[in-house]
Amino acid sequence: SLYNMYIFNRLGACVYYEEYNRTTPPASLEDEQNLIYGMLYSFKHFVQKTSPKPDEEQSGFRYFRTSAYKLHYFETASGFRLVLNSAPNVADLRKELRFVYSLLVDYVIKNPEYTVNDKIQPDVFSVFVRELGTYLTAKKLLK
Amino acid sequence: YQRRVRDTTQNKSMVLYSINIINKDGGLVYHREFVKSQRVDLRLASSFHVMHAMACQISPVAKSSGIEEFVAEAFKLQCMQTRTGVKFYFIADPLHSSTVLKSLLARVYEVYCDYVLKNPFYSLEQPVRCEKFDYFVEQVVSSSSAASSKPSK
Repeated sequence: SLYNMYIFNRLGACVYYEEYNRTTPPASLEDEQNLIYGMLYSFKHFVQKTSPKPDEEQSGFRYFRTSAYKLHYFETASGFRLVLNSAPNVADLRKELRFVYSLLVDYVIKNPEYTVNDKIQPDVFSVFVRELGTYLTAKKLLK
Repeated sequence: YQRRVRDTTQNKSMVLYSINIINKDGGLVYHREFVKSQRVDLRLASSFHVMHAMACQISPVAKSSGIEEFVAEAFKLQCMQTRTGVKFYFIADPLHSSTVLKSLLARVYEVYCDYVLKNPFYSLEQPVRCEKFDYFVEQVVSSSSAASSKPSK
C-alpha cells in the first residue's frame, strides 16, 4: 500500500527516492522532485496563514489525501523533509516517518563517509536501505 | 451509553472555523467565518486552488482527484470539487469527522444550487451575495452542531 518515498534536505534537493508500487512514472523525476519541494514550501506558508492557532503549527502539515493517494509528511528542525505516498485508506504515518528519520540519522548522517546535503547513494548506504525496507515490511506497509 | 459520553466531550472541539467557495478559475466567491479571527487572508483561497491542482500532478497513481482532505496540527481542511470545477471547502478542528464534513459540504452544495445558481440576478463565477444562501448555510452549520456528531476516526 506504499507508492513512493522522497527525502529532501535543507537546501531543497531530493537526497533519497524510492519507488514501491508506482503505476504512473513521471516524465522527469528531477522535475517532479522539484515540483514537490516547491509544493511543500507553499503548503507551509498556507498552513501558517490559515491556521486558527499559528503558534501550534511547528510541523507544517501532517498529511493530505486525494481520491487516489495519501501524502504523509514529516519535517525536522534541521530542514529534512520526508514525504511518503500511500494508498488513501492508510492511517497517519507520522510515527513511522519519525522512525525513518531516526534511521536516517543513525545510518546516514552519523556515517563518516556521508557529507551532509549529498545524495544518498543506495549502494554506499546499503545498510540504511536495508533497515528501511525491514522496518516498512515489519510495519506491514510493504509485502 | 459510553458512546454518548464520548460524544459530549468531543462536541467541545467540533469547531467549524470557516467555509469557502472557489470558482473554477481559482477566485474566491464566498467566504464565511463562524469563529471570529483576527487575521484572514483572502488570497489564500487562490493558493489552495493551485495546491489542489498540484496534488493531481504529483500523483504516483493514475487519475487522482485534487486534495480532498488536508490535515495540519491545528486545523483540518475538507474540500469537495464539483464537476463544474467549483470547490467548496471547510476549515475545521482536526478532530472533526471527515464523513460528517463531507456530508455538510454536500448539503452546502445543494443550498448553493438552490439559492445561488437558480438566482436570476447571480452571474456565474462572481462573488456570491445572496441573503437566502447566507441564511441556509447558517442553518446547515448550526444543525450539524446541534445534533450529536459521530466520534472522529
